[in-house]
Amino acid sequence: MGKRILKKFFFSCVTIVFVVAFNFFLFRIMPGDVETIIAKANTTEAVKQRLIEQAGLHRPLLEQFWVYMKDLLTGDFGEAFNSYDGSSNVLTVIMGRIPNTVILLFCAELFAIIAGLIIGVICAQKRSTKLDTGLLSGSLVLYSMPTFWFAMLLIFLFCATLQIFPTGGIFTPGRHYYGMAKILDYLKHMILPMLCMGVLMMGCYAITMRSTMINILTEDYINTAKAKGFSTRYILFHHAIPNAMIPMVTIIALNLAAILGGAIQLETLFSWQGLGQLMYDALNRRDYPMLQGCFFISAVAMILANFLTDVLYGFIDPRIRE
Amino acid sequence: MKGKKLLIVLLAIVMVFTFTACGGGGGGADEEVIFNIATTNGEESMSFFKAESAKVEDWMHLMYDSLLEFDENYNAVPHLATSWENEGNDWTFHLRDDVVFSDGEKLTSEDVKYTYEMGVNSYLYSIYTERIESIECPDETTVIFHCADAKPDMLYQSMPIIPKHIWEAQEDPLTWDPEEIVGSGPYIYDPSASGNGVTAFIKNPDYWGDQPKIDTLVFTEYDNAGAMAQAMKIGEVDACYSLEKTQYDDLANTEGVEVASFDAWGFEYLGYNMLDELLADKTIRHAIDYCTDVDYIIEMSYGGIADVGYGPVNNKGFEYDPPADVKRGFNIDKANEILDKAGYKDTDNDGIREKDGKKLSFELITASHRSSWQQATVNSLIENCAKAGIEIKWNAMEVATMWDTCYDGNPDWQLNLDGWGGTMDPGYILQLFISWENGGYATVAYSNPEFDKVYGEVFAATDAAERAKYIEEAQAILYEDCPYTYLCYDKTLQCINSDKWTGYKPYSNGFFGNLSAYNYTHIEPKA
Repeated sequence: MGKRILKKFFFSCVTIVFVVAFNFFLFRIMPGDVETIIAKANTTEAVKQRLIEQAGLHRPLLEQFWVYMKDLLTGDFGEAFNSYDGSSNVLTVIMGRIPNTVILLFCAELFAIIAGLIIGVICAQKRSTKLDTGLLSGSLVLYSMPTFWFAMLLIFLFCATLQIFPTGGIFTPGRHYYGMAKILDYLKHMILPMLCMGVLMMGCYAITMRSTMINILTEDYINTAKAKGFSTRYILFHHAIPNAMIPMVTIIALNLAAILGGAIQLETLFSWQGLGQLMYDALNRRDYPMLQGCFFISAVAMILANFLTDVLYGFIDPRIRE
Repeated sequence: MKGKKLLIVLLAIVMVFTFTACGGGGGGADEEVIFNIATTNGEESMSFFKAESAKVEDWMHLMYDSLLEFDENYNAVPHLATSWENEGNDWTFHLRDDVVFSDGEKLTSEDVKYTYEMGVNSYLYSIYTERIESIECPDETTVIFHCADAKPDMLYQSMPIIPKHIWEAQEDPLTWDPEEIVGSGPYIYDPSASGNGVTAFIKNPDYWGDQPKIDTLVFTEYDNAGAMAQAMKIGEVDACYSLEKTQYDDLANTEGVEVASFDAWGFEYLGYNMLDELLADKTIRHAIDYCTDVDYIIEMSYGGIADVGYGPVNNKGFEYDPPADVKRGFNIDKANEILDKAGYKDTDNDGIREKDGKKLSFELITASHRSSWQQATVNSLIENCAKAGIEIKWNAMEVATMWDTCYDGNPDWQLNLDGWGGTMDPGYILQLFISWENGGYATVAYSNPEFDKVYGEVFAATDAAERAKYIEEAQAILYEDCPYTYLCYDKTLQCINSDKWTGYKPYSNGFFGNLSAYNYTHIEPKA
């Protein structure tokens, strides 16, 4: 088990090194050269030259890469071309944004997992009934719904019509809330983006859980448990659901990449000041250092999540452990 | 029983959020007056040297004062400078003696001198320092600028005066991002209420001029234009800094919301690369110009909200209107006529004219992110030019790649669609067209010594009427040379909650972002 984890950890580290190199060169070979954008700026030649030198763009590419790697190892992500949240230090800005993204995505994911599991189990239990058909159709509709459209529907319903929630942002602008009032203000702003992502992901989990549960419920060991006289509830919680969790963990891990990507869209739609919105902003401004920082953090988070999933498999499924 | 408990918990949660939601608006007699403006992008550097966007330029007017203010038509009126005079190449400004920065230090002529001297390093403001050779401060309230020429654009300056004692003390002022901003303007940046997409300013209680009538001015970032319009409709925001055309139409039909379109000092164009063997011939450029149906383009690509233009200057009173005998309207027959006369014939009956074995077939480069609305323009050009025997092929590419391709001196491109923004000085934008070997940057390798001469006159003339005459003359040369076909003057779209607010007035360039702090200091809640 320990050897297996060490091996996985080694490969995760190697992947990170490749990601760092790819990250650096990707932004320099893709269209959208910063020097061209600076050249187009409405300012004097002297200022343009200073900006290019400040960004280190006058140095050879390999030298830029060497400096980048050296800085990264010392925890220096560099300075962004632009200023965000009152700072242009890449690490400071990213660290400031991570909590917002993590809280939002964690809540959305948790909501989706719990609701998806419940719906999936109910559907499998009530297979071929009207309830199953209704919930399955609903899940399929939600699963295939475009995020931006669903977000606009939520805004129209809850903001414009019912006027319960704000249309975007994190806190009410211009207000100084403290303590509980501040937490409530934060939650009030978070509910809609959380619902939007949670409900859309819920469909995916419900469908997966339903089909896995249907397979499991027809297995011999379930029939044996029934024959032994165990209650349905006992069979579900002690035999069916734990076994159905293995494919669910895979789906959840794979979804992490999707939700990190989805965060860009979600946070932009609800003006939620997280990592996704930062990436969108940095991309619009062609801010290489900031984009590199965001991509690096996202990649590390993804690799880490996959590593943890691999480790988790060992605990869930004894066959892998052996 | 369990179900009931769950229901009670759910109801309690809904009630808490509903009450919190209702608590935001407020309106009690003693309550803080907050004016909330929705913007489409968030916080940026507010350093005098690093600031880049027009929005931050607007914020600078809240935190700092300039020598001059401007009326609705951009005529200079006294502000920090109570009076000024121009003698030869020297400009003398006499300053108020009652202005203090927010830290209590007095604003003097030394601050003005420092600002202009350091301004050469500022992204936004370096253009104002051009052709200033030296600055003299005979006393605390007098500052004299010795310039390389008459510098008639001196009265179109909107340079925020920064405190010398603060900036001079920084190790590297060019990269310093101040958190606590010391200025002399009507508002003070409030870092405690800023962040998370919000930028807040509180009124400066010691301001020497008109006291703002609102306590807190807030700019809130909205990345989703649809959500911004909904927020405007329900009163969550009080104004929108810039609207998209769809939202503009939507809000125009909303009661209590005043929407308006404003000039933007810029223009959209179709550029002709003068280094291309065929496009070097003015006849072909004129022919394509005749094939450009600007009315259709304005209607289809700009939602009908743009003005027809014949020159690069889009400042009120300086727009060029060619005489009837030289004006080129949409006329495909005329295009055919001039091409026939110049010997461009379709000899092989493929629908494309040719001369000396060279076909009138051109590639039109556009920026891909604008394709959704520019496709109507491109299709119209393709269709109309085809009727004149000119083939146009469309190539949409990433905007920076377009700029990497379509630049002065590169012969390997032919046509492109792009735009330029100007400034309050009507002469400024003409510098694009100085001969490209001498620093012009129209990107089409334009070069005409006659234009260069008139451009020089624009910046030598001290008399306003004389200067206007040279600006017109310069535009007439450009119209005849036709390095660009001017597609339109695009507009800035803004709105304000007129049910709730009063005291503002429309400038020709907007309610906000108009290089004046007037509306920010005069807007107030309706009684």
